[in-house]
Amino acid sequence: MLLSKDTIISVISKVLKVSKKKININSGSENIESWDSLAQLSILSELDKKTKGKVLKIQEISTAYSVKKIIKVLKKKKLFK
Amino acid sequence: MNNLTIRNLSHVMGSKKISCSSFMKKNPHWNMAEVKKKTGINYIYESNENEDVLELSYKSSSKTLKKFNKKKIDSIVVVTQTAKNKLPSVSCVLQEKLKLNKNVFTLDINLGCSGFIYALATLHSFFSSNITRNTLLICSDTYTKFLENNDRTCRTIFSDSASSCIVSAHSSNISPVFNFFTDGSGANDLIEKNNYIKMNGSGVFLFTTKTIPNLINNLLKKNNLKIKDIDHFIFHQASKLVLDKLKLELKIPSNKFHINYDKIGNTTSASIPIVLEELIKNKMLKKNNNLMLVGFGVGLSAACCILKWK
Repeated sequence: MLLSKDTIISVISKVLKVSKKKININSGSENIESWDSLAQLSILSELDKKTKGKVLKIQEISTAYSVKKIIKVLKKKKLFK
Repeated sequence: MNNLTIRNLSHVMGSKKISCSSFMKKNPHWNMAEVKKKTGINYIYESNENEDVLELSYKSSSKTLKKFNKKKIDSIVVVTQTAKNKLPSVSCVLQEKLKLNKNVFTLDINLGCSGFIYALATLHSFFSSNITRNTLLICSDTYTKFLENNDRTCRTIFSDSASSCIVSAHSSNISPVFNFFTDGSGANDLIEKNNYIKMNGSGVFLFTTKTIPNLINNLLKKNNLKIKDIDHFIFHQASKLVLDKLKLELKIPSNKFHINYDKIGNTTSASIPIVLEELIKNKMLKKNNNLMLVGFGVGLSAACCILKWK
């Protein structure tokens, strides 16, 4: 399954327990305090489930601590629609 | 040919036992039920202000040496990255503190979670070339001294401890076999900067889940063995998330896959020998059992070893 911006934002919202309305393309660990390393692992694990194990095979996504960066990596790996 | 025996295993934990649930008192926004689902860790142990790597190593070694003739120790090897002093090495100071022979070989190995296996490989090589015969091996770290109180990722995982044992040479037609992997490009994923240890958990997780299955399968293949030929798997006790994933991926039966992270947290290089000590205590190891020891983490570094138990 390819991931959309909406799906990514929904996952982030669910993991971080932050309203979807408050998350946009510029959201990331710099402006959401609860987005720490453990939260990042949870976000990636959820995205991984949706792509049937493809996300957690991408080493560079581990440092993608923003919506923009996650989309950039997924686009590169052709996992974004 | 030389094999090695590991005996007189002991360990000590930092003296402050902390329930992970209690972290919510200082950090009310931490949802510890959610955190524990990932880490699986219920308790961690912190060293107090009087305990450092040297002190914990001394306490553990004293227990190890109670039933071993000190005069036979010809080498001291310490695996640590968090000694109070950068110099001198912990192994040198321990020689005096434990009143061991002065004509000992001493070495500190600067590695974390893969360190126990690197130490065994080093000792195996020493034994093969008759440099040493009986080594006091210690693995110790005090990560909690280098953690920020608001670091949810590290504070809820790492424990301070020291594990010690005697590793001796013995003649055998079977040698332990090793496999190693290093990827320095992930150095920033677990690093000490300005006296604080920081971990990018997802980076270490991705490295581990990608690297370890290949590392193990390659070692098994090279030695004409399969997962079913291994009697006990003793992995570095990183966290539930990591170990569950590896166990599933490698299809390791639960009765062969040993864990204790839930009770004592992640003790870095000491975690493998502490599990080993528990298996011995519970009489779970039998002569000629094949043990697979697997370490991974800071570096990023990984190592595994198949050892025939004696």
